Parts: sequence; structure tokens; C-alpha cells
Amino acid sequence: MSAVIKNNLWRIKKQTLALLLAFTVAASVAAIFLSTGLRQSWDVAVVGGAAPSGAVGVNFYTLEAPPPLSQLVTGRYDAVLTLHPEGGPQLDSIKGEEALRQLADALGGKAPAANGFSGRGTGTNLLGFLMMFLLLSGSTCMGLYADDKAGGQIERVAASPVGIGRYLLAHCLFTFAVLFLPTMAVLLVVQGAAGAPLGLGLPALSGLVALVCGLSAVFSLLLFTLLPNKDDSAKMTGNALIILTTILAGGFYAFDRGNQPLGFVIQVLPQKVLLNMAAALEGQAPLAALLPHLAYLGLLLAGGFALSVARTKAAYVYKT
Amino acid sequence: MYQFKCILKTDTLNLFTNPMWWVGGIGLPLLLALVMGFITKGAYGGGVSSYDYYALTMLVFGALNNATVAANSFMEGRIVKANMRLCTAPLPDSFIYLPKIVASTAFGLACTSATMLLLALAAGANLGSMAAFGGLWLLLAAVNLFAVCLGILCCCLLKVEETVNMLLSTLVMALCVLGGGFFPVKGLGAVARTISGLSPVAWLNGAGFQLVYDGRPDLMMAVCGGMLGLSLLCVALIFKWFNREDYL
Repeated sequence: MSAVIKNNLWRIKKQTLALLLAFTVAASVAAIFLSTGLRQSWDVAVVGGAAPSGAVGVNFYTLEAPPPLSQLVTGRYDAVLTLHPEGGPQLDSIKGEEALRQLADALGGKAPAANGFSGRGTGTNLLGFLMMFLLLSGSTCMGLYADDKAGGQIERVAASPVGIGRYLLAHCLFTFAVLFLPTMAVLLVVQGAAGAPLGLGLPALSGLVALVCGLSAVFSLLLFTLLPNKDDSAKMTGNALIILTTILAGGFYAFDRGNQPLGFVIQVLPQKVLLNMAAALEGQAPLAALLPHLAYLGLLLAGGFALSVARTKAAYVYKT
Repeated sequence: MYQFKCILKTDTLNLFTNPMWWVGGIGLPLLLALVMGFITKGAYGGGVSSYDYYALTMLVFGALNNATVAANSFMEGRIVKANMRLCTAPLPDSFIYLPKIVASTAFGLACTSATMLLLALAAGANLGSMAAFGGLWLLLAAVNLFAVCLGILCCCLLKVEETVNMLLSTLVMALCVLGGGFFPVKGLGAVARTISGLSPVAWLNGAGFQLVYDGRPDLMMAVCGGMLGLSLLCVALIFKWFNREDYL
């Protein structure tokens, strides 16, 4: 098994490895910044008079003419407040009802409500950003297994005393290590040297990152086992699936509103389970409350791995 | 010229006959736009729907993703093997990479057009008046061309397919996130706005929104000009750095 891991280290292109490390650093830094450095505020353009007083968490911009609609769409301004000489002020926005209600509260002097980032803790945001990147990177490392299948080396492995199970486990461990170690190194440096608050303690954070890396390894293994990687098609399918499900699970941004019909589908996603765990840990939940989540993820990991081994064995091991 | 046409035809057919590329080129942006639009429906009101927002940003995402299609049309194992013959044939270097740029751009345009029509007609997303629709198509065409040139330039520089794929897909993803492709980053305060402005995707999205909602093509013209200039620069660099020995 260690021979396979060592061999993978030799085979993986050094520049791929360097790029992977650089991306891990960039993703971690970006995730930490985005989740600690952002504060939600409302930006309101005021047309035809002085900005009203008494609002909390609202930046007013006094303009001569109303801003173009496109600046409302991009989010440059959340709303336009038009003050008519006669009659009351008029508030125009493209936001939905709930956001408008929150904005009216803010204008009236109430404390700002939570948004998709600030509504959850730093640790949850950090994990959400890292997740997309780590899951997408798995297929790059597991590509060596796809190469073995395409090149036929796997038939020799299947005939050797290594055994398919241990061979696939070695690939998984390799992928896990290549993803997990640099990420944790970056997080350690950030927390140790810069003293940035990560929202979660290191044991909890390393546990969660380990689960993400494990998921990444097993998912890409399953992908390359089940789909032929002709013209990188398996990798592309996997990437599309990962992007879609991670966004749905709220990796980037918590879509809390208006997703009732997809609610069940979202709750089943492993990414959502991980984010729920992070949120629970940040909320000082007892460890016992995490057990169902952990059991579910463990079951997924074990099931995915077992299925990969079974399918690979069926395809390559010669039966007498 | 006859050789050029033959190579172009083969490269074009290679792309257009691969169902996987169609799925990636049309299916992914379409599905993303619909799903994101669906789950953020409640956050929009007052004349602009979530589908309108994500239709445009996902079209830009899809056009940029064409960079990976280009990289694959250039570096995919099966194609490199066949191109060994071109490398030993008495042809100028440009006959190897130019047809791939043309074919990938054409394929990207086909995907973009189909996605635009599907989003506008079947999903009912608002992509502006006829003039704005045409302007948007031009904008996306320029983005496609640039993405393709960048993809092939990366191939010439890094020379390994998996590295190029990883670099491009991560880069496109990161720039789209920063540029407000997946949620309106500009609404998250002054710091986020500054960072978002650094992402070229923010400018692409901004140009698109200006076309659709204000009917003004100023930013679109500037962005198209920039994309064409950068594409030319990429082609010049490819010309300089392309090396037959590296390619094999």
C-alpha cells in the first residue's frame, strides 16, 4: 500500500502539486477574509434632498439623478429613496418582500438583520468556501487512478498480491493527504501567526476539514469507478455535480429563503450536513448532538468506498 | 489553404461530435441558472427576477468555461496523438493552434447561442430588447474568444493537460464568485465592492446588466474592445511560445 502511495507521489506532476498548494493557500486566505472581513450594510441612493437621519446600518449616497436600474441589479445600491417636495418619500428596490421589510426596519432605526454571511459563524463560512475548492481538487489527485484504468496498469495490480481493496484505499489516502495536509498547514499558520479568529477550535476545524477531504477522495474514486473517463468526461460530470450541489447546500452563501420545495434534497446533501455540523459546533452544541450527522457521513464514505471496490473487483479481478 | 481547411474541419468535428462537450457547454450554465434562480426567487421583486440575474451571470460563466473546452481540444490525449502527424508535416506552427482557436470559439458560440435562446424562450428570463439581446451576444462572443485564447496560451505555458484544466476551472470559478456570478457581492459593503471590482467578471456582468436594463452599450463596447485586445495579445504570445517539441 505504501508502495502505491509513494509511486503516486512520484507520478503526480510537480507543477500540479505546486498549483494545488498555491490554490489551497489562496482559498484558505480568501475564505478567512470573506468570512471575517465582511459586514453587511445597506446602500441607499437618496435623490432630491438630504439623507434622513435616525437610520442604523445604512449608508446614504446623495445623487442628483436616480441611478440606472443596472446598478440596483448588480447590488451597488440596495434601494433608491426619492424625496418628493410634496408627498412622502418613495422607496424603489428590486429586493424581495423580506429584504424590503428589513430595510424599512433599518431606516426606522432597528439593528440590521443577518444576511447570508453574517447570519452564520466565521467557521461555517470558512468551511463553506474551502469545501467547493477541496471537493473540486479531489478529481485531480484521483486522476492517477483514472490513468491506471485507461493505461491498463490496473489489470496487473488486480493480479498482484496488493489486492484491489488496498490499492484503492492507497489512492484515497494519497488524495486525502494531498488535500488535507496543506489546508491544515495554512489554517494553523493563519491562526497561530496572524491570530485570526477562525470561529472554531482547531480540533473541530481539523475534523471537519478531514471529513471534507475524505468525501472528496471517495467521491472522485466512485466517479472514476462508475464512469469511463473518455475525454475527461467523468471529471467534467463530477465537477458539474460538485458545483451544483455545493452551491445548493449553501457553501458560498446561505440560501435560507424560498427554498422550501428543495428543502429535503438540500438536507440530504453531505455538504449541507457538514455545514450544519460546523454551525452546531460554533453554537457550542454537545458532541452527542453531532453523532447522527457523523454516522450519516461515515455511512456515505464507507458505502461509496465499498461500492467502488466491488465494482472495480467485478471489472478487473479474474474469476476462476 | 487546403491543409488549413482540412485541419479546421477535423478540429471542428472533434468538438461538435462529442456529446460531453454539449452537456458541459449548454447543460451546466442552463442548469445552474435555473437552480440558482429557483432557490433565490424570494430575494427579488419589483420588476427584476432571480432568473433574470442568474441567466446573465451564468451565461458569462459558461462563456468563460469555454477556456477548458479549448484546452481539451488542444491537449486531450487522443488529439495530441493524432496531431503528432501535423507536427512532423511541413506546415507552419500556426496551422496547429489557429484551427483549434477557431473551432473552439465556434463551438462556444453555438453553446452560448443555444443557452441564450433556451433561457429567454423556454425559461422566460429577461435578456432585454432585441438590440440588447444582440449586444449581449456580441459581448459573450468576445468573452468566448478571449477564454479560448487564454486556454490555449495556458496549454503552451504549462504543457500538462491536468494542470491546465485545474488552473482554468479554479480561476474561472474564483473570478465568477468574486465578480458576483453566484450572489451579488457588491451588496456586501465597501470592501467587498472594491475586491469585486478587481475581478474582470464583475465588469462583464456589469456590461451585460447595463445593456439589458439601461439599454446603454458604453461599458459593453469598452469590455468587448478589451477582450479583443487581450485575445490578440494571447495569440501573439502563443505565436511566440508555441513549440512543437513541447506539444508532443
